[in-house]
Amino acid sequence: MSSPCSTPIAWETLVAYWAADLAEDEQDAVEAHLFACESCSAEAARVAAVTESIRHAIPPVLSLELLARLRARGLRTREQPIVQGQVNVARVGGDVDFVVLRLGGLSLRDAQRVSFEMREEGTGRVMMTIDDSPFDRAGDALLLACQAHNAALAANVIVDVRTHRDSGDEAIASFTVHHIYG
Amino acid sequence: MDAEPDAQLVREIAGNGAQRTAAEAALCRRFAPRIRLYGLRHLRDEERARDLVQHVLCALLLALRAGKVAEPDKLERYVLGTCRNSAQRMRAQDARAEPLPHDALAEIMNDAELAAALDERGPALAPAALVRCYGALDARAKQVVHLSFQRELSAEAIATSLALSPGNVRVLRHRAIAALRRCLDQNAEGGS
Repeated sequence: MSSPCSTPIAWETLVAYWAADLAEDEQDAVEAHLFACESCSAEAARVAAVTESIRHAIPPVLSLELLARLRARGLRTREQPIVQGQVNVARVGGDVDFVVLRLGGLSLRDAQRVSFEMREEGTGRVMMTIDDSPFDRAGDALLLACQAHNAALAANVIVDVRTHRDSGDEAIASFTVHHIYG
Repeated sequence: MDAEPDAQLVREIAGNGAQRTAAEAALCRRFAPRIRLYGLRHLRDEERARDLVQHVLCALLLALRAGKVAEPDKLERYVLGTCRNSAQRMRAQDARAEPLPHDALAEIMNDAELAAALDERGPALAPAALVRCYGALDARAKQVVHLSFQRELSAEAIATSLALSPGNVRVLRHRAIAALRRCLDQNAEGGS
């Protein structure tokens, strides 16, 4: 076990380091300390375990470019269309690395920005909001990535997609998805 | 040997005595995790980070055996400098580390021993645990974490997007990561 450091690097500084949010001289000072201090290096590793796992996780909403890169890396995917006005059942099993839920029927050609909110069906608890989401403009769709470990979250969700247009108009589309894992 | 200061280990290696191999292994165990973290930060890829570890340790061992480290009591600066140069070359060429003429590291530790040195920080995070803990964050914290680490936006850009100050963003960000870390530690203790 390492000895405690007499001048430990603050947690917020370590988080900023992993977010690449330090000035160059600050970053150099942090790195010089980390190479000389076992206990601060261990703490930096604890921060990195979280930040880098998030960084490399497949995000909940995909751009077409990211989807293409993930497929190019060899990840197995399957697409499922999701439509408004009905309960969509999405099966997520071991046959693929992730399922792409294509929330379609949107009108995105003149969209300036697309935002979305996912909430638990029944309780209405908001699970996730993204104010400026990637979207498939030509395909008039939003692409959600669903993986097996999402079974840790609520299975039955409602996704509200809000299209913001240059004219100032907004359109809302709602999708209901019931996930079945395994 | 693992408790010896760097300078003492350097002297053991340069002296080429009976303790040389043990001293080299101790230095490798000490610096491997730090080099890996540097690689993760600057190369953003686990495989390339491990590549950096092997390259830098190999270069370090060759330099120590040849007596080329001028300030043994500031060995960490030498290692950091070697990391910077190697990572810069890897980034510039978008390539793996260039091979060295002699694989000194393989004489000191095998792949399993190196893996053990790198994994001393604990097991990899279980994706389901991370999803559960992330799901427990409030909506604003999730947004800041997503924009910081998946969209890789600066605090200033996030602040503009969310109508906050950059200072607020930084506070939200480090508190969210702290909350995730606590949640994951509790999950690990609970065995889930």
